[in-house]
Amino acid sequence: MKRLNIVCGAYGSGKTEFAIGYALEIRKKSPQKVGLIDLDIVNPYFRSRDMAVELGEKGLDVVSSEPGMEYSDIPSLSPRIYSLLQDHSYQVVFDVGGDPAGARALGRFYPYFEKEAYDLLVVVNPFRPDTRSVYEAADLITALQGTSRLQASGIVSNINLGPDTTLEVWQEGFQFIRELAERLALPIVYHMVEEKFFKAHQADFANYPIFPVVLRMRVPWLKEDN
Amino acid sequence: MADRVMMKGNEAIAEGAIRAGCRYFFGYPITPQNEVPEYMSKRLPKIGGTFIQAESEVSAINMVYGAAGAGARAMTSSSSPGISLKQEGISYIAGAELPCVVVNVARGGPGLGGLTPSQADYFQATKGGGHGDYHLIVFAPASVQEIIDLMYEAFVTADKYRNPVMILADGILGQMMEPVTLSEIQDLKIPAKPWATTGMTKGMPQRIINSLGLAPEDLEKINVRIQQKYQEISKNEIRYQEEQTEDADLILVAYGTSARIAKTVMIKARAQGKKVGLFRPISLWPFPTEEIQKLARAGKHFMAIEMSAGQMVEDVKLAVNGKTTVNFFGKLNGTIPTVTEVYDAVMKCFSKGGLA
Repeated sequence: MKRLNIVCGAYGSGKTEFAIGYALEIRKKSPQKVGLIDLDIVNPYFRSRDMAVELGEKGLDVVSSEPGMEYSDIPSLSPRIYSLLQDHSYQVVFDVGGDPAGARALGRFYPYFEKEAYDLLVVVNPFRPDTRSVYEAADLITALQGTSRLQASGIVSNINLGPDTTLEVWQEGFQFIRELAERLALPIVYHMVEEKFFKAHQADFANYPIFPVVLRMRVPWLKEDN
Repeated sequence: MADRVMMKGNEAIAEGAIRAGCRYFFGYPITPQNEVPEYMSKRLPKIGGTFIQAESEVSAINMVYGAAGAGARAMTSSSSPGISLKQEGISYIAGAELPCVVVNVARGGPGLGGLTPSQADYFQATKGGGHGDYHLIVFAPASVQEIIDLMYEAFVTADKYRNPVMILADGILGQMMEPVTLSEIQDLKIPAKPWATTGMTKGMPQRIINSLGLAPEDLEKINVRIQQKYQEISKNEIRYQEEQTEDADLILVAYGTSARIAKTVMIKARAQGKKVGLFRPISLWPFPTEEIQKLARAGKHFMAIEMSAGQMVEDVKLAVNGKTTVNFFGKLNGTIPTVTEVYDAVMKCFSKGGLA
């Protein structure tokens, strides 16, 4: 696995959920320090920085805006991002903002990606309106690569319709993802699947590279078990 | 064929408007509603519509005034401070009796406030906002699917009464994602608008759109007519949802995001044997006063839950009119109340006595 991991995708594709889960997974497996860089300057809602304290307790170093600036609606990034890029004792996961507009924030770090190998994982939910057709999804990934000047390494599928996700829905999405991967000649690295759904259908998922995720970016009325 | 997608509330506002035949959008960016203009700017040019990012909110609402006057289905969206800026134009549009849709994805105030969700614009939305004796018809959705459905209702209702309709949401409704069903777009029947200023031809009587009544007797006539229209709206356009109110001792009254919290609280309280119900106003103006009155006459007690210092609770109190008790739970800091906080407040109500 590479030291630098970049998670990007369309707006609302599930990037943050995957980036958090992925960083925690790296933390579990590696004795190294793990930094999660929240590069989302597009939107002040549902960001990984909102969970910085909780994730810090789990051993992640969450870097985003400077303390006190979390709620500012300005595209400010912390200079600490550079220290994580330069400090090789860190494994790094970038949680990039949505769409090519969000990926633009990666541009200033390009010199580091030129020098060091990276993995760029693109999260795709076939049930989001902007990536409802294989053509649109392929187009978006091409645009993401253009804006960031980076090459995608693989696709992470996030096939879901929220609480309405069924195995049929998942299969429909899987055909889409397979077609997209073929068109772009990219490997499918993971299928992210909500842990509960995965556990309920473990046998059905036996032949797929599944990455189970616990949903963290939840609306408050679903946060507490009742 | 109907399509199922995962949508953010803001995207649903835009998609719902397009499906309702809206082809003109005028706006100015403000968090947390930016996905609305973003979506409109992408989609409208592809379907023969017009998107304009105006130089200010004041400009945007006046562009809506113009487009609505020409008979188009037009809309603008903003968030709290931006809606304050639009008030003059909204009053003019109400005075000129033009149909349009204004969306407020509310955030915390007063002043510049913050970017997080709030319900503190209830007074502004339902009690005037701008100057003069006028009303907006105000709909408050509580889910992404309901946003899609109410956007359609909003345009139809606006046309029906020649009156601006406001969709009052908040930051969390705008930003959260839920599955929605997008039904196939049916042939839209946009009613004829014989009053619209679409250009004169020979022999055609002049059509004038303004909100002017210089002579006092003229202005009185205009106001009497508008008030008669409001009475009719109050009779016809009440929308609400009741859940488990029939056997309830305490009814939670909440709209939008707060209603989602309240529902979870209701389920939790029921599991503890407390008879709690939920009354969710969908139309905030006209407010479902008589329906709440009926429940009060049946001896039900109430608790209003709002992300504000207490605004809708005044309408609940007017409806209950002293017959039973009206409690209140409010959250002021631009955050959403947690289920536990509200649940504890509900339990306190029961332990205070008077409730079974």
